[in-house]
Amino acid sequence: MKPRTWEVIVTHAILLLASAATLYPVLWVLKLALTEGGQLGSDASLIPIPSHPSMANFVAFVTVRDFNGNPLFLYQLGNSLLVSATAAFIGLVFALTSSYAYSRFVFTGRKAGPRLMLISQMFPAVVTAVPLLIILDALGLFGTTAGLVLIYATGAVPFCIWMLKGFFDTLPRELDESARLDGAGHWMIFTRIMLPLVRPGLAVTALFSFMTAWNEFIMASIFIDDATRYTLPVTLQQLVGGFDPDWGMFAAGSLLLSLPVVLVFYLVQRHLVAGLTSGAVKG
Amino acid sequence: MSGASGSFMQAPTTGWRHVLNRYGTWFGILLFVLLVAFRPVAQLFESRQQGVRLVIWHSQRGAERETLESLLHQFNQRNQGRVYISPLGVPENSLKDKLVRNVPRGSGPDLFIRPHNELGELQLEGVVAPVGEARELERTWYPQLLDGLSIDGKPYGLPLTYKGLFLFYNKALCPEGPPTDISQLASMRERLPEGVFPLAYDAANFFFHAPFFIGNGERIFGDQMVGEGLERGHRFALLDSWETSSFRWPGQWKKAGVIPSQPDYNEAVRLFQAGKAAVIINGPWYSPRAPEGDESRMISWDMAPLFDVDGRATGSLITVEGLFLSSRSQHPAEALEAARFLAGPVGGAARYLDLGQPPSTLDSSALGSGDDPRDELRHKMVLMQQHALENGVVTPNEPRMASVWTPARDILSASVAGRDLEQARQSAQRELDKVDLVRSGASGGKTLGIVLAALLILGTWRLVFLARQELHGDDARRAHLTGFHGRAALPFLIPGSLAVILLVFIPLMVGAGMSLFAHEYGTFSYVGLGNFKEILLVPFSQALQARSFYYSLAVTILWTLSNVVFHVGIGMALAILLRPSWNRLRTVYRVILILPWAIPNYITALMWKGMFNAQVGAVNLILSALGLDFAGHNWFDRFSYAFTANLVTNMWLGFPFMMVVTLGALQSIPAEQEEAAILDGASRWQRFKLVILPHIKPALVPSIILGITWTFNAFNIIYLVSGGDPGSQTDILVSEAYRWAFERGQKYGYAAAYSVLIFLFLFGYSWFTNRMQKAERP
Repeated sequence: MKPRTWEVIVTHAILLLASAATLYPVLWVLKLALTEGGQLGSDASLIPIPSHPSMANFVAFVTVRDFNGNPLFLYQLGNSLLVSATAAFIGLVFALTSSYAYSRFVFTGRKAGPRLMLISQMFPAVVTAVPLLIILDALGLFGTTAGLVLIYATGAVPFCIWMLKGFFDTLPRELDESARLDGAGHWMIFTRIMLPLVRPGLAVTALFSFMTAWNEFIMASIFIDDATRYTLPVTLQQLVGGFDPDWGMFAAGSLLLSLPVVLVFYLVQRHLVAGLTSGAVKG
Repeated sequence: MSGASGSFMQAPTTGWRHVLNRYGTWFGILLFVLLVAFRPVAQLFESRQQGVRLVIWHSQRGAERETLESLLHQFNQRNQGRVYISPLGVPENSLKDKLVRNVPRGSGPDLFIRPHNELGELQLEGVVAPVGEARELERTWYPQLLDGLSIDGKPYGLPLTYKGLFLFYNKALCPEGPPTDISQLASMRERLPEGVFPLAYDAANFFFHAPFFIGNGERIFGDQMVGEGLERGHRFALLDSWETSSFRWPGQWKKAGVIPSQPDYNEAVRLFQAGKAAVIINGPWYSPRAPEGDESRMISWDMAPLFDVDGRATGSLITVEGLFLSSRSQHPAEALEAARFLAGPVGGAARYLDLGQPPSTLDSSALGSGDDPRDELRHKMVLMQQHALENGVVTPNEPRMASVWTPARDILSASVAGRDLEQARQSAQRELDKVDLVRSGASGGKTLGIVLAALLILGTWRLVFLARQELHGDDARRAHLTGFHGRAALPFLIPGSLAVILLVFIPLMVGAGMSLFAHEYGTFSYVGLGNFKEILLVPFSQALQARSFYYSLAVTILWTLSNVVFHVGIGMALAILLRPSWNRLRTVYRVILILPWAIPNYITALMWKGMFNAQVGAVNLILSALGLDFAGHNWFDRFSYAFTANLVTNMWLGFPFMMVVTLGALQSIPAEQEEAAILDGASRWQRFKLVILPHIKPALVPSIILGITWTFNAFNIIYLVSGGDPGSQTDILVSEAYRWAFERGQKYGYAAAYSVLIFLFLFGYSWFTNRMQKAERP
C-alpha cells in the first residue's frame, strides 16, 4: 500500500524531532569530552559544538598510570571485560536452567518462584549491600574479583529467570513431551531441543547481565583494593564528586565506557525486540 | 516467537557472521584466557619491592595526587629495602564506606587521608588508632589543627594541611579593591553594570555561609544543663538567635540583586569566570579558568581575605586534611614513620610549593618571605587561609555535626528561594530534635518478638499450603506422566536457586531484619517496631511536609504514574511510526532512539542536570529562543519545576524500553486482520483501538508492571538531577531511604524500615494487579 504524502511528511517530521531530542544530550557529552578543561555548564550555547576541539581528555584518560607505572586504562578495561563477560555467562547458566525448570516441571513453588524473583527486584538495594558484604566475607570471597563476579552474576539472575521463563513458555509443550516419549533424557531435551530455540532470549539475557556488571561502581569501589583490579566505572567515579570535578575527562571516559555497550546493543537489537516481548507475554 | 527464532536461524550465514558462528566460541575462550592471564603475566615483569609494605588510601586527584605520589616515592627511596608504601585512589563518596567495611576485618590500609570532621564517626566505628601524645605532637604541628583531629584530648591523626575560605575578586569590576565589609555590597550593586552581581557563592551550603554565621557571632553548639551538671558544647545552638540570624541574609541579598538567582557552587564559579560576578567566596582548591578554554576571555583576578561582617573580622569553618592511622595496621611503627614524613616539614614544603597549601607545621621556613614574584600567589593564598583559621572555627568533629548540614541547607535554600522562613526553621528544629530523641519501644520487645515470630510461622505455613496446591490439577498429572516432576527438576534448579538464595534473598531478609534495630555507629540495638512507629505515626501537620513518609509516598506515586504514562505514550507512538515498511530510514531512527537505554544513566542524568542550569543550561536557552520568559530561570527552587526536570530526564531515559517492547509486539499482528480492517473502511483510530491495541496489550501489561517497579526505585535520577531540591521536596521514597542510611547519620535501621515499607507497598500493588488480571480473564 502506498502511503500518502502528508503521512510521509508527518512521520518523518516526528521521528526527526524525536531523534534530535534523543541525540541532543549525547552531543553535549561529546562536546564536553572534546573541550580541554571542559566544565559542566561552563558556556551558554544552543548547539553543542566544541569551539576548540581537542583529544586531550581522551588521551589523558587512556594514558593515566598508577603509582607503580602500570597503564591503568588497559588493566581496567581488561578487568571490566573479564568481570562483565564472566558475570553474564555465569548469570546465564544460573538463569537458564532454573527458568527452564520453572517453565516445564511441576514441583512445589513453581509458580511462586518466578513471582518471588520479580518481587526481589522491588526491594531497594540500599540496605542489602551491608549483609551481602558480610556473606561474601564468610565465603572468603571479600575483595576478590571472583566475589565481584558472583555479586553481579546473581544480582541479575532473578530478572533474567523471570524473562527467560516467558521465553520457554512460548515453546509448544508437544516438542519436549514427544521427545520424552521417544526416550530422550531431560538433559538431552534441554541442550539439543530447547536451547537452540531460545537463542534470541539468550542474547537478551546475556546483554542485561553484562550491562548491569559493566556499569556498576559502588560495590566495585568498596570491594576491590588494588587500582589494577578496579573496573573502569570506579576510575570514572573518582573524577567527579567532591570539589572541582574534572568533567571533561569524565565525559571522555563516559564515552569510551558506553561505546562497547552501545555496539553490543546494536548487534543484538533485533533479538532485543523479539526477546522482551515474548518474555513478557506470558510473564 | 517462532517467527523470531526462525528468522534468526535462517539469517544468511555469510561473511563475518559465518566466521563468528563457526569460531565464535573459540574466539571467546581465547579472549577469556588472555584476559585472565594478563595480570599475572604483567606482574612477572614488575620489580619486587623489599621490606615492609604499607598502603595508604586517599581520594585526591589531579595535582594533589601527583604531589602525594611524589612524596611517597621520596619516602620509598629513603627507606629502600626497609619500607615500601603505595597509594590507592578511591572515589570520594565511597572511601568512608570502604574503610568501615574493610578495616574491622583487617583488610584495610595502614594509613588514610580523610577530612577531620569524619573522625568522630570513624572512631566510633573503631577504624582509627591514636597517633601519639598531644603534648609531644604540639611541638611540631599547630595545636588548633591537632585539636580538630583529637577526641578527648587524644590525637588520632596528623594534620596534612587545612582549608579555609577567602575571596577571589575580579580586578576590572573592583577597581578600588574588593569590598572589605558586607555593608558595601548593596552600594556596589548600583555601580556594576546590569546582569553583573557583586557576590556569588554556594549560598545554600552552610559551609560557604559559615563566614557570615561566624561573623554574626552565632554558634553551632552550645552548653546546656543536664540534671545538676553543665554539659559543654553539646546542644544544637545554631537556631538560638533566630531574630537576628544570618540565615535571613541570603534571601535579602537575592532580592536586592546582590547574589544571583541560582547561587550554587558551579553557577557561582561560572559567573565569576565569565566576568558576571565581582567577588566569589571560594577555597584553595579553586583557581579561575578561562571560559571554554578560550584564553582571550580570561578575567584578571586577585585574592583577598574574607570581608568583615559589620566591622567584625570573620573566618570560616576550617577543614583539616587528616592523615589517620588504621586501627588494624600490621606495621603501626612504620606507618607512623611514614605519616610523620608526609605530614612533617618535607611534606608541608612540597604541598606549599606545588599546591599552595598552607603548612600544618609550626615551622614555616618553607613559606619564605613571599618576595619572589613566582611565590607571590602561593604566599598570598596561605595568608588568606591563616586569616580564615585565626578568625574562624575548626569544624567540630563530633558525629552530631553530620546532622547539622541538612537542616542548615534547608533554611538557607528557603531563604534564597524566598519561601516561608518560619516554617523552614520549625522543620529544621524538628530535624535537630530528632537527633537527640531518646529511643523508645524496646521495652515491649519480648511480646513483640513472639507476635512477630508467630506471624512469620503462620505466613510461611500459608505459603507452603498455596504452593502445594500447584501440584494438583490436569497440568500436574500430565507433567507426571511425561516425567516432568519435582525430582527431575532438581538438577536444573539447584545452581541458580542456591546462588540467588544465598546472595539475593538472605541479604534481603537480613536487610529487612535490620528494620527492627536502631544503629548507632557500629552497634545495633533492638527497638522492635520503633522505627516503623517513628516513620508512620507523625502528627498530621508534619505528615504533609517534605521528608515525612506520607509526603514522599505521594511524590513517589505522582512520579511513577506520570513517568509510566509518558513512557508508554511516547514509546507506543514512536513504535507505531517506525512500523511502516515504506520508511527506508526506520533502522536509522531506531538505532538513534534506543541510545538513552544503552548509555549508563548516571552519565546522562548528570548531562541533563547541566542542561537545566539556570544561566547556561540548554533548556532555558531553547525555551527563551522560543519566546518564553525562561532566561536565568532556576529549575530547582520550586517543587513543580524541579519535579518537571526530573520527569523530563527520566522520560528521555525510559521511553526506549517501551518502544522496543511495542515494536516486538507489533510484529505479532497478522497482516490479514489489518488489511481486512482497511477494506472494511475502519478509520485510523478504529484500527488502532480494535486491531493494534488488543495485540500489543498482552506484552505491554507486564512491561508496565516492570516499568513501574523500576521507576519507583529510580534512585539515580532523583539523586543526580534535582538532588531532592528544594529541601528534599522532590525526594522519592528510595532516595529518602538512601539519605537516612548514608547522609543523615547512618540510621541503617530507620532506612531499612523505609525499605520494608516500600517493599510492602510494591508487593501489595503487584498482588492487586495480579488479582485484577485474573478477574479480567474469562
